[in-house]
Amino acid sequence: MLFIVAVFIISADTMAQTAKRSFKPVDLLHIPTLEDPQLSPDGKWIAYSLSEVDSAKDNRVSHLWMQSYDGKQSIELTQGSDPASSPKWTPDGKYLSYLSERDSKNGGQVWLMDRRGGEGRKLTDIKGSLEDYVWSPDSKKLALIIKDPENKGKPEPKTPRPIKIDRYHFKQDVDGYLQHLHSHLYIYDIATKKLDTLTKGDMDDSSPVWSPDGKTIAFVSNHTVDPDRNENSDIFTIEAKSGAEANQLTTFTGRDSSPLWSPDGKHIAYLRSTSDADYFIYQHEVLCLMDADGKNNKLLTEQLDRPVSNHVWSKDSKNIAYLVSDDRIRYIAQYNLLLHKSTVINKSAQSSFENIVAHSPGNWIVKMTNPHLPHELVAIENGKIRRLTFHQDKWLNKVKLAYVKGFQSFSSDGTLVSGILYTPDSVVNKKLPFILYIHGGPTDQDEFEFDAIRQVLASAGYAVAAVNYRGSTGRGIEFTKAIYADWGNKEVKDLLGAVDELVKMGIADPQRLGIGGWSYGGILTDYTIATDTRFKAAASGAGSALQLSIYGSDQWVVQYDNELGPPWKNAEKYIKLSYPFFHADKIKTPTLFMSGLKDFNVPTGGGEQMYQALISLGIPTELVLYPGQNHGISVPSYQVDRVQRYIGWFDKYLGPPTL
Amino acid sequence: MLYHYMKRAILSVIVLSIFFYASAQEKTFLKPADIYRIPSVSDPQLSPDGKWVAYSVSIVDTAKDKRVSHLWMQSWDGKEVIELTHGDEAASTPRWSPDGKYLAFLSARDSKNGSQLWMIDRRGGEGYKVTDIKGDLSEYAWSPDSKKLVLVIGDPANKGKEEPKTPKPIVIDRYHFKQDIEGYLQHLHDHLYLFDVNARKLDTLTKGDKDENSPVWSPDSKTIAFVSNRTADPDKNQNKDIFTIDARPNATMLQLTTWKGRDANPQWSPDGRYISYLRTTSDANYMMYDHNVLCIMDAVGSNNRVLTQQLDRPVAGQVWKDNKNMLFMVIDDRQRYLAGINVNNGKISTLIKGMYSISDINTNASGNVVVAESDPYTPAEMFAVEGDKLRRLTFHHQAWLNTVKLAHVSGFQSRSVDGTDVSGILFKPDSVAGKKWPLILFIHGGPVGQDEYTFDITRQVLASAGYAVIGVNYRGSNGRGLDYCKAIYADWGNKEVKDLLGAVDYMERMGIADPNRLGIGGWSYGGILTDYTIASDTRFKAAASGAGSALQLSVYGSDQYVLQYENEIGAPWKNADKWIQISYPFFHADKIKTPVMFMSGLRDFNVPTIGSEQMYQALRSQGIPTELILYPNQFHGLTKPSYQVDRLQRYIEWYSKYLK
Repeated sequence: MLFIVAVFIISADTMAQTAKRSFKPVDLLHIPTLEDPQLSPDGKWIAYSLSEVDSAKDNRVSHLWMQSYDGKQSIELTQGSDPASSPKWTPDGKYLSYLSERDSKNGGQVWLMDRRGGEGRKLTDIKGSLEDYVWSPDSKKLALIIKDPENKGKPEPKTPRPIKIDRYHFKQDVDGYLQHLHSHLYIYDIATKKLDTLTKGDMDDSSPVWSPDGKTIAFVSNHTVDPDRNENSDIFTIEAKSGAEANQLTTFTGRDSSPLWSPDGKHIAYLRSTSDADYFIYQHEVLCLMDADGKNNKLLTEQLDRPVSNHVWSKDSKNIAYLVSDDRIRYIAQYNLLLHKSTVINKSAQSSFENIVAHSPGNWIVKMTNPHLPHELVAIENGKIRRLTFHQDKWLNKVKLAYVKGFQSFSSDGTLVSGILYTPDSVVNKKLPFILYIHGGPTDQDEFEFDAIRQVLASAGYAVAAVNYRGSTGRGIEFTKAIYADWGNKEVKDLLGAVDELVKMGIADPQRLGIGGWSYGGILTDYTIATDTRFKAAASGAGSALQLSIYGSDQWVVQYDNELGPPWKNAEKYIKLSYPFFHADKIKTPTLFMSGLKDFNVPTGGGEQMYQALISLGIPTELVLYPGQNHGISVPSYQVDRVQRYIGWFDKYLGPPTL
Repeated sequence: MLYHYMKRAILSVIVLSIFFYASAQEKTFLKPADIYRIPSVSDPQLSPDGKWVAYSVSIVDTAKDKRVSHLWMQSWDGKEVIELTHGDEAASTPRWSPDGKYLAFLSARDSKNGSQLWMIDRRGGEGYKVTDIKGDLSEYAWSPDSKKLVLVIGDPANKGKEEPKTPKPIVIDRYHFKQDIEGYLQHLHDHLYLFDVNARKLDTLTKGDKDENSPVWSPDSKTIAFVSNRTADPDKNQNKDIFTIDARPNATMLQLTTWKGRDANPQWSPDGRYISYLRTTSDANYMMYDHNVLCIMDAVGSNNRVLTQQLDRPVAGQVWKDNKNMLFMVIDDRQRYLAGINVNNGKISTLIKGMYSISDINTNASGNVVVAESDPYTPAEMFAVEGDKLRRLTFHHQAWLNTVKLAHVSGFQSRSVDGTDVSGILFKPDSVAGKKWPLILFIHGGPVGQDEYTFDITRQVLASAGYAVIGVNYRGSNGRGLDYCKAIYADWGNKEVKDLLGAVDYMERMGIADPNRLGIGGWSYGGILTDYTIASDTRFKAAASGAGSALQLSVYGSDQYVLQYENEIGAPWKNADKWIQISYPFFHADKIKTPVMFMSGLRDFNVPTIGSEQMYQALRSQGIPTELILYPNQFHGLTKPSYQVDRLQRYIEWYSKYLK
């Protein structure tokens, strides 16, 4: 086995030298995205969705695929220009259901595909937005989460009605202006096609899961007086019949979420935030367990001091598998209920996992990525990885990717910081023009995964660094919390420390330093260039600098009121955190600003104001606006345009790299 | 003639009184929905023989929820009125060919490329399309010999090609990059083109990276005067100058004026000797608190003279009556009057002045003069100027006015705490003295503008709902001289608030306003001043702040006024304290106790929605009753008729909730 792998690598390398071309911006259009693996009840098939770019329509279209567990067969199940997503097997194995807007005037509906044969057919015709659906264990019912329909389900009038806002939290990216449309739990009977309301009211319900006996549904909701003002979601159960009363299981004043019944029905595993404050962004989730009636809550991973996600019960109810975000990787661990302890299932040095599915005791199916491979499905059998899908090979075979390795640096205050370095080749013979490309969040981390943007930049001839500055996850809660109400201070020290280290290592040319990022990465770009003038070019995407301007104009008011205080009580703090704007005259770096015009997460004003400041100061600058785009740029041609403009801008001010 | 006129006038008075009397019982107070019934009459154009006045009338198409304008023609003798164009597509900007053979107009009818030039043959027949221009045709003028037209055309978006399915990313590299209605500014410019009427041929007259506007022909049809800013970066100043260019392709332009402020609106004298124009008083790169003075120069640009320096009032819309005399409008304390000047001796005379407002003047070689005029009880109609009298020509408002009862309107003056005399206008449900009303202070925008004795739909509707309503020309307004206007330079929300509160105090003292039921509101700078005032004084029980802002730092770079900010306030990184000071309603939002309804058009680049969002958020965070109403796809001025009605309805609901 080992021998075969080695041969494969050698032959791939040989091919690279002869035929492979470098990875280019337009290759972003060739990368499929694999999501949502679902195991058939008999354990033989994994259904999932795969989205690919339709360049004519300039969008991504997802379709359902099915992969045999033995690795031998791969079948595309849905076709056409209307996407299909969210595959789920009926527990009796007779149907594969999914969501599609095909033949629907009311958005996504549940479709059924008969496993004996035949095309899918539309099952539901629901008004409102179908956000989630789950099969009852007897395959006779669906628990649905439906968001109230716009305009009470009537067609939009020719002149849209004025939008009346009266909520505290009134803007949200993608959702837009928030009024009083709420998501509630419904039961849909497959045989009678009857829809029953389970919950209602001025709050949102989500994450429904059926108890194994099919009698009860657990779900998540925030039942405080004004859910806009805190994150105190709790886990509730409700009998699966109309008129039933919800029963609150958790009482922690932070966030309880993601309930999962053990297959034997005795326990509910769930996630809980570490903080019980109304709002706290610098925290992570802890895996918890309680009895099915809400008693005996236990924190299972508190000592781990790492974010836990995506927990899954083994079919024998003995283990809970989960993902751990740890210093640049995301590994799989499991908690054993008998031994009361966690062990590692698979921890690969340069890989990250997502979407665990329990196969059979000891065996799991999971999505895996590494710096040279976007997500594919693998089986993990007694800790060993067996690859199941091969959707990426077609385009990967044609291109040469950048070389990726980890590095660490010390900041000026002695903090050890982890980073990932991308270079055009594994051997660096001379100093390279350099781009520090900063992740968003801030509560997140750069991992060893396939990173298209940094790959493209490195393939254009740059050394590119990702740095997990303080505020990032994966290094413990103290590392994350360090930047509380102190933005643009320790992060900048960590970023600059990494740059210093790469200069010292002879990789980054100190005369040709570039910087950039998106979201909090754009915000940190502004902070960094206002702190240090050594960068010759910057690209600040979806960022902001005058933090006063985003109070009330973005989606984060509850964070600001909690972390910084209201501006009229704590103006000095806001002004301090806005130093790139109030000291814009310290900036000397030519900067390309970018924004999606429908971004309510970090609105366009953030880019506009810094653009205006720099052009007023005569510093070379440009503002590129993407029509109709939210915080994340989703139109494929814009994704390509963005990286092309990055390369154009860095080439212009750093000098085009010599490859 | 006089006899006939008199007789007819007397007859009309009798007929009208009977009608008024008969219908008095059925008259109802003006309501928000009456907006749907109110036409808008504008742009009077005398036919060369002086016998007709063409103009446009826009009425609301309720099914389509928009205003559609059509051309009308009124005979000078007052006897005949004819609608000239019809249908779903609007027609506007009527212009007679100087030989009287055609009436030209603009319409997007049957066009894929926006407005085109259309003509109606005066001998008869429907209008026909003359041009098929890509780009934005915004202005045009006939040559005096009727053979050519000069057109102002804006470069077409996307180089005249069809917009791709995915719109191209917008790349911004200009200093001034946002402008209400226009949107994000890139590099599309307005240029002059010559259109040969017989050959139907379009020739380029000007090109480049500057804009050319306001073209006017010399009387001999050889030369065109126009306005352009040709400084290195026109985004960074308002230094427009007047140029001339021969009316032929590849001609070279000649700069006539050199004033560093704005020179605009050139008008040739009929003998071609002079060009009159308007000029700012300030030569700064940007000065908001300024007005236009009337100037004259020889047609080659020499001997520039300012004619209205001493008047100390804004002058607008000058027209040559003959080779010696001009007519123009003067903005003066709540009025806009018609004045004349003899350019030989410089003598200025007041011609038509009263409790009303003149908004447009048109005259030609026929010697007739037509103006648009509005008073507090009548929206603008067309009037003939006869000596020092006006003779009403059009009656487009009569039908709906006959069915409604309007509020009583009167002027008043108040004295502010620092001794400043301030002029205001009071609207009351009736003229009965001694009654106390809940009060709404409804504040005008600008700030450089004034409330005039014109028909004011917003204040009329509010007063009709049972309120005393006042318009106050706070410092910063015009009509009271340049110093009064300049008083608020870099000092926003200070003297204006004193003047507004002084007027409210006065209304309380006069027993008109109930001090326990005070409301406040406004749009644009009126919304901004609403925020300033409620953060200064908690006596108001309800406020409606439309298209306003309070954290002025947030509008730097996010609205269209960067040039003003950097000139008047200074760059934020140099003068942060000043910016923070003029943002006091936000930084001291905890002083506000007034329930406020905020409103904004979602595409407003003049005072963007963020101005309202931030104050809404601040009040909502503190638990003060507040609402934010957003109008989809609307710019700074709401144009959708149903939204205009909705806004008034919401004003009334909000005020009645907290004041009644």
